[in-house]
Amino acid sequence: MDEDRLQVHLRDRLGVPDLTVTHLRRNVGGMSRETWFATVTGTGLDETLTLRADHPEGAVVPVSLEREFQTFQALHGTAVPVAEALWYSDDPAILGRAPFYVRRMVPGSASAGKLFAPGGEARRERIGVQFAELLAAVHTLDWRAAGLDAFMEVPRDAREVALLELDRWERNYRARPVEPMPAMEALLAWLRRNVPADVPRVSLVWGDVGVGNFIYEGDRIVALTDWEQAHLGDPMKDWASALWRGVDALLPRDELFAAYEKASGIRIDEERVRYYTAFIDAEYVCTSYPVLRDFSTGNTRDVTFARLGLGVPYYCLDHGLRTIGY
Amino acid sequence: MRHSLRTVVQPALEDRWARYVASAMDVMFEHLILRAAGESDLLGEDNADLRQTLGRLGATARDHADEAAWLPLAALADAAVDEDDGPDEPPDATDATAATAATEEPAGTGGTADATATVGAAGERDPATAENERLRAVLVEALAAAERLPAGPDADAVRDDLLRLVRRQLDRQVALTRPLFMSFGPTPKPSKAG
Repeated sequence: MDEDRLQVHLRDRLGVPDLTVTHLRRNVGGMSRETWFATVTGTGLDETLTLRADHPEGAVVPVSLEREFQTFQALHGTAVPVAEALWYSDDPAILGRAPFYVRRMVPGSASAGKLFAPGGEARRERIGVQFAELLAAVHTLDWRAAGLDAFMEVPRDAREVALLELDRWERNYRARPVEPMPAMEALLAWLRRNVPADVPRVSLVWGDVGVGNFIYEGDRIVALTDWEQAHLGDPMKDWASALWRGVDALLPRDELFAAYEKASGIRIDEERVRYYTAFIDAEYVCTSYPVLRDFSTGNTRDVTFARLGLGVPYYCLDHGLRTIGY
Repeated sequence: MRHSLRTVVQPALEDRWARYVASAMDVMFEHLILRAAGESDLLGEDNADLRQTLGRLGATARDHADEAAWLPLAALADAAVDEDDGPDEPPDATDATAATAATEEPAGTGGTADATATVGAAGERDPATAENERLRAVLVEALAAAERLPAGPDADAVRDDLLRLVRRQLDRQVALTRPLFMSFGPTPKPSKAG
């Protein structure tokens, strides 16, 4: 990230001629896109902004950065707390790379390490309850009123709720073949064979749910992050994601479910949660495994992508096969 | 290289992103060490398992020779056991130079990229790797053919057998890739006693 060009751009967009980028660092963790934090000072200004950009090699997820920006914009001011997205640009002349967008950084921490430090059990329990209640807010949001259907596909029937997403992820997987992967074919076949036929409601689905994807300050969750996989679909998918990523380390599962059902009026369907557990394994393979193809095309030489492309798929396939009984 | 990374480079790194990249390098080294030591044997085992299991399923498919839906599976089983192009014994170590990462290879080695292949001097796969990829492609087709079988106990048994084969195969791959696994969830720290 070109710090000088960023400074010029921020001065212009924020209208602060003496703006200075005092600190710029890349976020560690999270491979779908690049996240940078820029601390800026100037007349009447002292804050940290978040910059999101696709990797120079391209996005890992098959979702446009603009859609991510639009999701933040649509949610800002609703019952779902998110950072304020400020502007989006697809002009490479500005920073030397594009697209990118800028949002305000919400003060707080996303650190799982700090949250799970010894002695924090009571705080984790409070955060666990809030987590369930905020997930309820996501799933009961009037997505039409929020304008989300302007850029998110609306499933037409129960089967489409899962199949629209499955088709999207599988297309990404097949577009950049690496080598025959029987375990993945088995998982995809199982997912198609077991598509839920009864889905009571279509909700906004957060997508990438778990500890590390919300900001907390003290014992309060202040913002939900990582909306690149958001779509209109089955709320049980978010519970599958949340449990897959260990959210029941905050609070026991039955207490999380109770808090959620009370806040949302939506009943947890554990069969559909199981379905989406395997779905999420396949989803992670669809995004990470194709990255390996970039090495043979010369599109990347980044060792972190090599690790992503090998480490995530085999972990997820191992987990996914167990979920379906193998 | 791994020793130098761990003892000299990593301790000197202050930038968080650089430390992250270095840790990725470290686990990649661990993975490559496992592959150098064990990949040949695992490939041999995998190839034998694939041929044997697919061959056995072919026998079941031939029991249903009068049912069209079973014919593809029989043909695939024949393909698995008939086209034995290469030996399963470990390749000559002087031929099988590991990953092209050590050299400035030009982009686009052509065909299907095989990120896990042992690559020879001219960018060719060793016979066991090539055979494994071929057999895995047959297994992929067999899984699809099994999905189209009519309901019944033999079809259920075939699907079960194939999925158990997939599990065995995955376990062999996981044995080499486990160091690369990335945690997605929190790792709760144990409370101090007292």
